[in-house]
Amino acid sequence: MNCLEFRQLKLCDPNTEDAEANRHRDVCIACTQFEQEISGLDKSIHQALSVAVPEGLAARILLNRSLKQPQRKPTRWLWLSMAASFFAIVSVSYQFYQDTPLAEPVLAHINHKPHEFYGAEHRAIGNEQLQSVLDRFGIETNIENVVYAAVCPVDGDEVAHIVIKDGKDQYTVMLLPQYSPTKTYDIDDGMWRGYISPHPAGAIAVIADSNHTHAVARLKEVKGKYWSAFNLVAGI
Amino acid sequence: MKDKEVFYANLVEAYSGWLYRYAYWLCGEKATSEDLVQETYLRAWRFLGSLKDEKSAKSWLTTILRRENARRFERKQLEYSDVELDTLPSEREDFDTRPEILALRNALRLLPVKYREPLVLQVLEGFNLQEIAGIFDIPRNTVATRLHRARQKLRKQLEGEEELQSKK
Repeated sequence: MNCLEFRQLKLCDPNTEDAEANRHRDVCIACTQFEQEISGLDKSIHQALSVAVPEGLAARILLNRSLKQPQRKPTRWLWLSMAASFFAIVSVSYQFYQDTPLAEPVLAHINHKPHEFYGAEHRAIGNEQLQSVLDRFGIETNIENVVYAAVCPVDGDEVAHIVIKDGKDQYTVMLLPQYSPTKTYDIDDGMWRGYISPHPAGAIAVIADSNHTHAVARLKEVKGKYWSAFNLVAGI
Repeated sequence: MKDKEVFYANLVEAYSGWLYRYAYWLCGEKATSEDLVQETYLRAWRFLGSLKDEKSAKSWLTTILRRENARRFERKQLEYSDVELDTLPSEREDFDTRPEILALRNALRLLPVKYREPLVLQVLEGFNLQEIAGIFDIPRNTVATRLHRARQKLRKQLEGEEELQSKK
């Protein structure tokens, strides 16, 4: 390692413990001084960035959360009504089991991995990578500009999680083979907008960031396009 | 449910201070910073089940907070690049007020957001390059370049300031 490489390394990661860098530092007085200078700069930056955290912040956060979900102490009357509601829900759920909207687990997954949705610096991935994901589900496609594709767990099942750049818009598409809804459901939780629809491969979710008005306006258009872009491999 | 509440309380205890400081350097206002942290934790509670690995909790919460801040700006119809920490001087009592630290804080304020943000994550909370790359969803090398430039720019600005002081 030479002086230039050492300094470049220290400027981007001063605390890195690199054996080669340490060997260079041990024999170079100028770089030892440089390391001390950067270390001092970081200490000062830390002091400059430090700001007092308001007292009781953690308590207010916990209080706020509990106020948003008020809990009632169950009375006998409440127990009876809860039991009645439970049986009503079970019977209705049984009837409409096949129509489970799936929105919550799908959105939970996207919220857990939002970086797969974002990133202007995403580049299209290769067809092989995309197809290796789709092969798992016996699906083929001719879609282009896929920037992310992975087999992901949603609600305990494996799904194909795909992110597509469509012009200046970006959409998450999920193929959910274990589900077979009988109609299309809207998704709108304030953060994400889209649809979950029946599909020959099970179900397909097409989702846009609700803040991106242009992408949201095109949802209906792209929903149809993506629906027909993913097909079951013949014979499956 | 009880376990979820305990886990959630631990997350609040462990990371609310960090999230507040990070929020402050994103928005520059105390009240907004606290709102951002509150919103972040409310959303985290809702989707807590999707956090499979406790070790990634800090990155996960930081990502949520970044997103909440972006939503705030979109609601205000402002460009993210318009973030100016103009309110900082009026809230000086919360800071170290030594002249050299004030000069550095001023230099940090002038640093473009894309350089300042990874620097805050690295210096203030010790995120490594890979973790920062995951939060911003950019390649690790891009993070390294931005941190490199951030420190170079700060050094140059501080050197310029020292020269000015010595001429006076």
